[in-house]
Amino acid sequence: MLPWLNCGENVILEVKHTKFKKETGTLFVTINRIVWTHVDHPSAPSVQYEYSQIKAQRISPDSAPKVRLQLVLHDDTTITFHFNNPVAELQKAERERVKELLVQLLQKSKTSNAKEEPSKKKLSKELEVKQKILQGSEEMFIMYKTLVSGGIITAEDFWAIPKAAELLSAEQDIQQPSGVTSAFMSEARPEVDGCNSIQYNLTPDIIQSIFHTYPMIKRRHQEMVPDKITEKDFWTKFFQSQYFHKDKKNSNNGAKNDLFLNLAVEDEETYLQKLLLCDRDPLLDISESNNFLNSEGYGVMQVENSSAGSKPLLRKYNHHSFMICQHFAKTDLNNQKSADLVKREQLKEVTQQPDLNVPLEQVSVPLKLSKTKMSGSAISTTQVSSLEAKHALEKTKAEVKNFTLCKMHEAISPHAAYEAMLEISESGPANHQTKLPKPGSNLMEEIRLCYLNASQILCHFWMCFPVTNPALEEKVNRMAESILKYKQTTLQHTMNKLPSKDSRFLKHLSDQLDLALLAHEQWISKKGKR
Amino acid sequence: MKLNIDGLLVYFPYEYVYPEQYMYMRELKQTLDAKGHGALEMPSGTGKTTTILSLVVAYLREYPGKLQKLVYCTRTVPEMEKVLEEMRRLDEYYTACNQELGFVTVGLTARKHMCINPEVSRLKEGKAIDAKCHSLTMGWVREKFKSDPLSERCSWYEDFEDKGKHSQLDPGVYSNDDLRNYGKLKGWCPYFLARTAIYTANIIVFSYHYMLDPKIAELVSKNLTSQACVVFDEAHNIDNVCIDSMSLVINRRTLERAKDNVNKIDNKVKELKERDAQKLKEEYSRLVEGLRQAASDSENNTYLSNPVLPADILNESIPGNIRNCQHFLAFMRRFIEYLKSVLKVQHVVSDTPASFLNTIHNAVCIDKKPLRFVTQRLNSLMRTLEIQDMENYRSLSVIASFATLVSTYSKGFSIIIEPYDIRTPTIYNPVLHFTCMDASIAIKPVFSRFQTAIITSGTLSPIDIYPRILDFRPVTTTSYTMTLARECILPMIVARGSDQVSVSSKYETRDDIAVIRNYGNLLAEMAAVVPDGMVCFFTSYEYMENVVSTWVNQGIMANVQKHKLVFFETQNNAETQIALENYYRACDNGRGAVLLSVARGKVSEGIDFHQHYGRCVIMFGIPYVYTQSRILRARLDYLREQYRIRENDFLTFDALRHASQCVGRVLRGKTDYGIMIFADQRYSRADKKSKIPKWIQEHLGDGVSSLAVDEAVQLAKNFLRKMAQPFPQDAQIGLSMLTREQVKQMEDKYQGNDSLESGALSEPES
Repeated sequence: MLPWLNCGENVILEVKHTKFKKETGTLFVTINRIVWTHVDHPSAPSVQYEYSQIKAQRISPDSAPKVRLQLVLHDDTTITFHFNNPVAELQKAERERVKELLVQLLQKSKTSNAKEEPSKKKLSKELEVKQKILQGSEEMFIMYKTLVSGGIITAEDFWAIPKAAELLSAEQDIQQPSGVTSAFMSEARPEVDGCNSIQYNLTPDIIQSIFHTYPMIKRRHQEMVPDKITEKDFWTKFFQSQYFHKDKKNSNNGAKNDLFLNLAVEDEETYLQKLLLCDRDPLLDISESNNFLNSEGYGVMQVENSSAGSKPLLRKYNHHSFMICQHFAKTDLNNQKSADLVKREQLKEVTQQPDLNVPLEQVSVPLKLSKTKMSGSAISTTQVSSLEAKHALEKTKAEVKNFTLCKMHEAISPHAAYEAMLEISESGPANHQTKLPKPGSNLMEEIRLCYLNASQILCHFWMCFPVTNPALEEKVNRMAESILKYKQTTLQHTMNKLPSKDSRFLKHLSDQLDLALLAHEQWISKKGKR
Repeated sequence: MKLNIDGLLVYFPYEYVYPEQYMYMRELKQTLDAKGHGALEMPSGTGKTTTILSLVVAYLREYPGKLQKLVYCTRTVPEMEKVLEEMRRLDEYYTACNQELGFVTVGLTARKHMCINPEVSRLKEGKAIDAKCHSLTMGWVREKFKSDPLSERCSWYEDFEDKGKHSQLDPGVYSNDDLRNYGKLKGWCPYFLARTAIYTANIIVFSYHYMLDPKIAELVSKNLTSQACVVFDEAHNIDNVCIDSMSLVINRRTLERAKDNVNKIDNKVKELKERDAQKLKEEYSRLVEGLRQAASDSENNTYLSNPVLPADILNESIPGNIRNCQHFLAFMRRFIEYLKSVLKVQHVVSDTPASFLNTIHNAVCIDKKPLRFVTQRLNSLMRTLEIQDMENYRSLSVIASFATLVSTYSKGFSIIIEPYDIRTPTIYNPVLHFTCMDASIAIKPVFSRFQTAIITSGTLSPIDIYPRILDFRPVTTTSYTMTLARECILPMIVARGSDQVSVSSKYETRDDIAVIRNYGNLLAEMAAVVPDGMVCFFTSYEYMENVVSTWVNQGIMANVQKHKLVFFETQNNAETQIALENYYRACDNGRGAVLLSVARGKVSEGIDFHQHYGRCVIMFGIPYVYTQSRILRARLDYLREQYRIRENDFLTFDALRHASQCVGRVLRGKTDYGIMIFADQRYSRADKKSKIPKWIQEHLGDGVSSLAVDEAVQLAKNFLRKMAQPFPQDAQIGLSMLTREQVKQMEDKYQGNDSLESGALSEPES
């Protein structure tokens, strides 16, 4: 057992005769790092790198005098090991074993990293969205500042507030996947570099596009790479194949490229067959338009066999474009409707001449309701057409005209009505004599914010009832704490700022908070009894 | 709005009317009044269908004594559905105006689209459905059911025969889907319901073929009233439809199969002789009595209808030498053997029907008269034998049709035997083409029988050639231009590439690499400029493939792909349709796409590229028909001799009508806009330019008649920028669109003119 090994780690490969910076030592390959120990200090590793630090590995060419393996780190520093087994034939074999092993291990670490990445990405994306919301709405920003920065509630709770959550989910829904560019193949166009070689520029984006467009290639890639063929060879073969050169004849290079030979044909055939089963757009129906009468033998020319294959070049382009279309965002909204209905609507649309009609009710009177929440859910902000508005006006006028006093006898007297209104209005009968002075606009805004913030916390609090599980229990306590904190700090602070005669504006709010706290106390005592 | 057209109150289902529409209605009204025929050209997208329907429906309502029926013929099923939809709109408008129209409108298509018998309709293929339907509804099949209740029959048809046949459809518009739903509801066969309903309906919408193809017209529309107005919409190709319906092709395989068919029938005859000799005797005596009675028992029993026009069918009994079925079969064998010997040629032979009949008489002693009766005789025999799988006897029926046609018509037809196919000049495959060269033969009965026939299309230029090739005397021939509030089309003739090499698809230069490259640059540069959809037309499939493979090598395709998705029309219909659907999707999606297709192909004829589905159309070259074809040569000779139409005139006319048809696809209304590029230097010549429809020609000034690619791109950019500005409706009113008051003014003007012209002689119509 080597002293530097972590628990659960074991050595997969050990190569005795290696040199690092002209010093002799032993190279170890373990499950998650590569280690080299000096021959004089075998207990402590002199060199060690985790696979996630390594970008790539290189090997010396066969013609070179020394057999070496080089690791390239992400910051482009290189570490070179020299294999100097006294038996010269073994040097290369040892190097190959290390190389093969590293290929697999590096790949593995890459994929595991890749798995972590999306969640990271998602996280940062969410942050981005939240930031966007806060920047977009001042109200939310102030609320966030007082509540979260003020330490009253946690950020998590803030985003769980219904209003914030609504914005968040709306923001996240907008995201749509990006499609495939139509010219991805031409982006990988070859460049001639000086002497007789051609270079193709292949980026991960292009590879993704190719996989999307040609599922067969993806399958073949999974099968072959890296077990049977290296990544590079795979793409070299791909570029030589008929996939890339749409016009090449199959027969010319059939023997060499059997890797992809039948794939193209297969791909296209599955596409055609799949599509033949689908329903067609009846308005684009060209297949049957004339066929039903031109039966064999009649007509000037012989009826051409319509199922005869088209030229491969054209078919390839059609297929290519079709596959790209498949990656368009799905926008089928009316897929529940029956085919007949869809067809009818299509026909209506096609035969309609919209410019010959008077445009339908473009002039409309928008009903302005700036605060829809306050006017309740019954009133929606739908627009009322000018015609409707006119009707309504006329009707009201007529009603007023025909209004007779006899109806008045049944109603209550104005005085009684006024009394009743005062009774039920929240400030009560006490201050109906005093003419309510309006506070200054600054103050008004501050009070409004107070109400807004408090209402959000209260909403959170009341949402916890009935308390059914420990998580909720914990939340209730937390929210009660928040309320208390809010009452003692922010509310108190605002109260102090207000002139004493205006404190009544916040009275209702503080009543509400008290009520919540009372409820919490009652709940605790009830729980204690149980 | 309500219009007053020459004293006729017309309900028009829109609030405004285009001036063209108003003029068109006046013209149409005059044609109907005169009980004559007309040829009318009106730009595509100016609402031809609504105009025709509104006026004729008003006329039918006002003067039921003068006109009883409107027969609207379309080319394709989708077009038919559109017409029915427009009719529905008009019907609803009448209802909205509190008027009761009370008209029945019926659309009729093939069984394939209408059948609701699940056993039959699951066959999917048109021919198979027809055959299966026949085998379930023929008279003797139903007879057999009476004795053998286990045998198969179609319950929908039976129910229709029992109850539906004498019931009337309620007023309304019945499209295919409506009829099918109605049929399902009542348990009646929608196809036969429609077939019967066309006799009582006020408005019928169906395919050209039901009018023009004698094989079908005989069955379907034989008894329609002559007080009808027949409209052929999109009729720019009507002469080809006429010719197609009277022509035949026979090759060696047809003959082999026909021979097999004869042998099969022979066996059946022998069988029947042993079983029931009485039946054959009955048939014989029936034939002696005369053909008419034999056929009259049920029209449904006629599977093979006569390929010649009704007026040319002899109302005589079948000649004696083919009355006996054995004799008849021997006669057919001899005829087939003779055709086989005729087909053994090494060089092209062309012949007239008269000399063909002469040689056949000398060689194998077959007379003209019995030949004329072959179809009828065969039909009678097949009925007697109760043959169920008619589909398998197709080859024999082709031969029979040929026999009847060749012996009936001595003029206007030609027989051409080619030993080699043009496409495969090394494989010996002799083919006999029996071709009709005179389009007027098939359409003649329509003109003579019906009181009014209207030929109309968006591209009918030059309009005077149609009366000549169809041989009729129209009372009105008018071509309308389009009044526009803004110049929403930009036609251009691109004659040169940016390198000043002139581009053309003429034979000498079409494979020139510079020409192909310039065409490619035109496409690539326009693709970069034009938003959404773009359509290109080549002169033929072969040329398209050549050009495209050169473009691939030149890197032009990759350039185009950078801006748009690329789709192709291919010879495979299903594949083309899929490509089309995806082209539409790519346009909807905003990605933009290019569709490369072929003039004279399915796309150029039937598909509309309205609004963003087509902002630019490029016609690469002039789509001349393949001039080396013998059939075409024969037709050109005939046209020259009979109608004094010069060969070049006809060829240019034919090429230009297809080119116009292609570029016309892009504009489907006045709010629509599009670029039309004619990419061939030859278009700028006067003889070509004058044959482009007027409504395109008037925008084709000298400034845009001979452009280089870069100039064209520059013009297109400016045009598109201008078109992208909002186009409010007010801008159109008064110029390209009329309100009620403006129409009133026009009416007053016309009335003033009329009274001035005819003075005191004119009598106001009541």
